[in-house]
Amino acid sequence: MTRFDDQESSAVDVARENSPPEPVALHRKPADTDRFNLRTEPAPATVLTFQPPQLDDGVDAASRERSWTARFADALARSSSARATKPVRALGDFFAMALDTFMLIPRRPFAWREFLLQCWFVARVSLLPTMLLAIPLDVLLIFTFNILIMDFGAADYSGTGAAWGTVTQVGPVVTVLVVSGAGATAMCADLGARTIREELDALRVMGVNPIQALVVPRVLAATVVATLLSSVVILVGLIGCFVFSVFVQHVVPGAFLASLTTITHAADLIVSWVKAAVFGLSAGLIACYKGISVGGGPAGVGIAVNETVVFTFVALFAINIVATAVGVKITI
Amino acid sequence: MTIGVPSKQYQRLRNLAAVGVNSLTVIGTQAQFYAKTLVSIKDAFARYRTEMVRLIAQMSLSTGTLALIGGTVAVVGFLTLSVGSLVGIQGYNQFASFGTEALTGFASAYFVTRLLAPVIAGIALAATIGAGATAQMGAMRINEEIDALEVIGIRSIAYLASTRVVAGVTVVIPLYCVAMLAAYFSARFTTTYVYGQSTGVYDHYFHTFLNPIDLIWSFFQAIAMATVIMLVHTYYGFNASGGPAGVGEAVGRSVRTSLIAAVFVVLFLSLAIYGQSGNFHYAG
Repeated sequence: MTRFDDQESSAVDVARENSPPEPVALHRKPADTDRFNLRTEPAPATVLTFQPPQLDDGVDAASRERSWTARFADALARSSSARATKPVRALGDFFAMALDTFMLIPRRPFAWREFLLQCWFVARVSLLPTMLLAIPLDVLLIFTFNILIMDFGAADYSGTGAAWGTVTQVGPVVTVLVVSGAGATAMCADLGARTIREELDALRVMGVNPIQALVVPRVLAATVVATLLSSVVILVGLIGCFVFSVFVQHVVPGAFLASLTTITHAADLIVSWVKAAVFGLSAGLIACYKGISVGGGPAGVGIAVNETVVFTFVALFAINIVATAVGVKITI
Repeated sequence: MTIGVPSKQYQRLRNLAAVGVNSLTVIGTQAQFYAKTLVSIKDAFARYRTEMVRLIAQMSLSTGTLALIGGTVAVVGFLTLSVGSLVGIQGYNQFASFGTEALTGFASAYFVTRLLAPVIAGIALAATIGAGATAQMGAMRINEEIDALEVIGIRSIAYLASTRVVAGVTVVIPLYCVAMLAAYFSARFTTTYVYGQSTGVYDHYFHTFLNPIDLIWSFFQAIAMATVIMLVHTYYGFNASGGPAGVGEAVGRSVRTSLIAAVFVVLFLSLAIYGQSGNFHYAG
């Protein structure tokens, strides 16, 4: 073994003597330190005496474009087992992208055209499903609630339950269920297909930041449309409640209308809008992150969209608890 | 070098009619697919039992990143946990503003069983199992694997769609148990630990108004909903087209459709089950 190694190392030395001096010789020990063959192992071809603090060593151009948090996450991932850190890394990447997005929102040039197109797109695909989802949910709510209060003999307060349930919970939640189910999935599919076709890399090569050109308008569009749609949901839901209560369960229409504002006030409405905006924002961010981090062909896009739906719904309910607890403190 | 083609007579009317006819055709195709899938369930039981068992295991535990965060069970459990605590937060505070916070246990027993658990379980099912099935089948369609299955003589609808419907309905039963328990538990936890109501008061009103018959109907609703959700999702997956983006769009469209379908199923079942009388007696 040693003999073979000796031969190899000597062959390397011979080859090195014949070759012209290389430009990276600064970081290399002189070749003749081992001239007496003191070590049993062959000397490595290049020995770095000084390790410069290159965090992005071996990182491709695409990830060098990203923020330092993303690069730090990459370095962390390379130093440890990639599989064990996968969920953590994904979370870190997500926050890095979210941070980039927030930083780039006030930067010019703002992609107005893309923003308007996305707003129109999200509103177009969401409007009909929102109504179709809001009406049965609200009718179900008011049906269950009316059974209860009719047993008390307080049917005149039917409108109270309708307004309260619709404004505080059904409005924002239904809006974002549809915005994430219809708008965010389409965004994720679109961005995912572009990622697979390497269009995002092409944008980076041309000097266009895809976060600024594609992600920022989409995230803002989801936020704006979710806020606007929540008003539509509340209106449509209340009309559905009114029709069902009055014509099916025989509640007095005047009493229904008069009791709408018993416990639901303007503050509740504002909290509801804030909720819808935050939900829309998180749905847009999750969809865009899943879209630009997709990999693995058609199956990969399908899985990414599936994960978008799941994570958006989970995030929605998690945020809803906090927002409700805070909102209850404000409004009651 | 384009050649001008004179438009036909009443072009706009024709376009409008074509749109109407197309949407009717789509509904017809869907109905046909659903009927075929349901009829093929017996084929699936006869021939593809192994695939069915494999799908049941896959659906309950999930694959990929979802499996890392605990799979379908964790997602369903988390959603219902959060809804239960919402009942605790909203119910307790709203009842407390009337001075009747003792009734929070009643709100949990009544609203969770009849309204929230079926709806939220439907949402969670559509998002996890349903969308997953669409993504899988859509990728198979794009990669022409479904055509390959048919060429080698496997009944693709029975093998892919019927098995998934059966697996989804099988998985929903334990999942719905988890969902109910999680919702009840977190409503109780929020009310008694966070807001400090005495557990005796909570449990008294909870047990007084927890109707076992309602619970059984609630299970029935969940199973009906799971069937509809799985049918819708397999249809969209089976008929995906248009490359990688097409798979994603199919997933989105299927989630939208199945959410609406699931809520309508719950609504009509509720109306049919509880009816005008409501099967509810506060006074005993």
